[in-house]
Amino acid sequence: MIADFLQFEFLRNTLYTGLLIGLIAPLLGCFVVVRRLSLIADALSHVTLAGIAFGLLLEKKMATPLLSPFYAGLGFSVLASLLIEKLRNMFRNFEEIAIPIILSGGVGLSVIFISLANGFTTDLFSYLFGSVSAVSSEDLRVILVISVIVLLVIGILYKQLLVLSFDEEHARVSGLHARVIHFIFMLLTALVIAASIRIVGVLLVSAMMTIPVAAAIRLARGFKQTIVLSILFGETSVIAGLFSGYYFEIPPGGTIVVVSILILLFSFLAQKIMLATKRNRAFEKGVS
Amino acid sequence: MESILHINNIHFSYENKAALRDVSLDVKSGDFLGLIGPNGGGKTTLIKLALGLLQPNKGSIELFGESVSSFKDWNKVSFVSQKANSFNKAFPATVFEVVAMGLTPKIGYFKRFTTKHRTAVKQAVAQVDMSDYLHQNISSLSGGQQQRVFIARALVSQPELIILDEPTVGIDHANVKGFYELLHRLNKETGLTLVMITHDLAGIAQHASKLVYLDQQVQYEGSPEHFTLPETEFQVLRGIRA
Repeated sequence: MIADFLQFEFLRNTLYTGLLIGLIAPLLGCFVVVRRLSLIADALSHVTLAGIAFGLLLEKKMATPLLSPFYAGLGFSVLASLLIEKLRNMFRNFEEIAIPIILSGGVGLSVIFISLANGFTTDLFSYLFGSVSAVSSEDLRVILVISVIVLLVIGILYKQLLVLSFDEEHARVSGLHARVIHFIFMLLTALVIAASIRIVGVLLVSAMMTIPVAAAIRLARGFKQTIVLSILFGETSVIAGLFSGYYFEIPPGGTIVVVSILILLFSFLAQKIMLATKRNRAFEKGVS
Repeated sequence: MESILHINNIHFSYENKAALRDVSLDVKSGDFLGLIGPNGGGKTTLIKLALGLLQPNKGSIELFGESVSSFKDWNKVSFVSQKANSFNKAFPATVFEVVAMGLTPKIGYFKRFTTKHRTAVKQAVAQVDMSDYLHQNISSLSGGQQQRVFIARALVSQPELIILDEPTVGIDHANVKGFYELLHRLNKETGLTLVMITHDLAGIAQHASKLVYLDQQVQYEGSPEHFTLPETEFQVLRGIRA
């Protein structure tokens, strides 16, 4: 099975894309989770669906496609990230209201575009739940560029993002450009979501950004360790999910998410064992 | 002595409601100023103005002799907030990582965290007697220990002025005492200038070198020994007035 992934180009593309997503989604997800913005990832993914549906509609209605569904999804996702910020500023005391507005707006538009394109297609199904065979060399190149951008920006802004995530008030008082950094962060989130959709699918993309982080937080000491463990769990989920998805002929989005939930359950167990060991050690110390 | 914070005749209103009227204040190098007053008396507003987060309607504010609106050297100033309001308690960061955050404005965007910075973090943690907890998650510490870590975060950039906004809220009595002793020691031994908003009159009166009672206007400015609580505030404390 592994040989298949190395032998066929389309499977190689999928594997490489999966590995990139397994790296950047949990990396950015660490900041998304600690900033309590997990639902924003969901809202953005649903708007991305609207973009994809719009792209598919254009493809169907025009002989030569002006905008591929992937790029349309990317554009919609970036626009939605800006819109969420606008709404959060407009409803300062009810910031979370931006999420249902954007999410339902995204689903509403999706329904309209899908209907205009005369219903579901196999292609749309692969965008919803991910696909082992849908990643083209062009997709891989774009996702590689997005990954490099994400890694570079996080490399430069890591310290500032950490301060902003930990204590927004302190960040503002310290003279950090909190608004600009937050804006860049939202753009990165939109890019990562659009990039992840080919593999995990619209409906499950936020899982890649949150479940590995949820598991890592249970076990890690400190933020850097949380990032390392999240990426480790993310990559394990992607590899195991892709291979099992291919083997059982199931969309990989489902298998990736199930593997990451199994890892989360394992982290609960591991945390219990760690705590029990600590208690026993403390008890033995007390006795001796 | 050098003037660290100079507030000159400022007025400030939230929409049409006056929050501060004709407030003047001078904090000199080495002062430990306790800022007290009733809720809604304008204490936090005054601090926000001093930090340049709000602009006064009238009057001027100078930090280290420079107008706060054009002040750039923010490394000289640190702020410790009421942690309960702004700190995400479940955040997975170690004491080391939290204190290192205090160096972020100093290091900037493109420079890396070096051995020199690492040493500075360890020194700041040692100053607040928290070295044993360096690699523990902040969430596993008590309220008093967490507040010590925030003091270390404020100290790490070696500021000349630390502003504290009700830092003892939610900390038990025994830890509050230790916290005041720590501030007192830093003020006396290193000459650090402190401005602290608090409702704990008994605690601050023992350690501050100067007390200011603010109720939209400065009602009292002087040594803690000569301060008597206004009748209205006294009634609030005794539960006679809301």
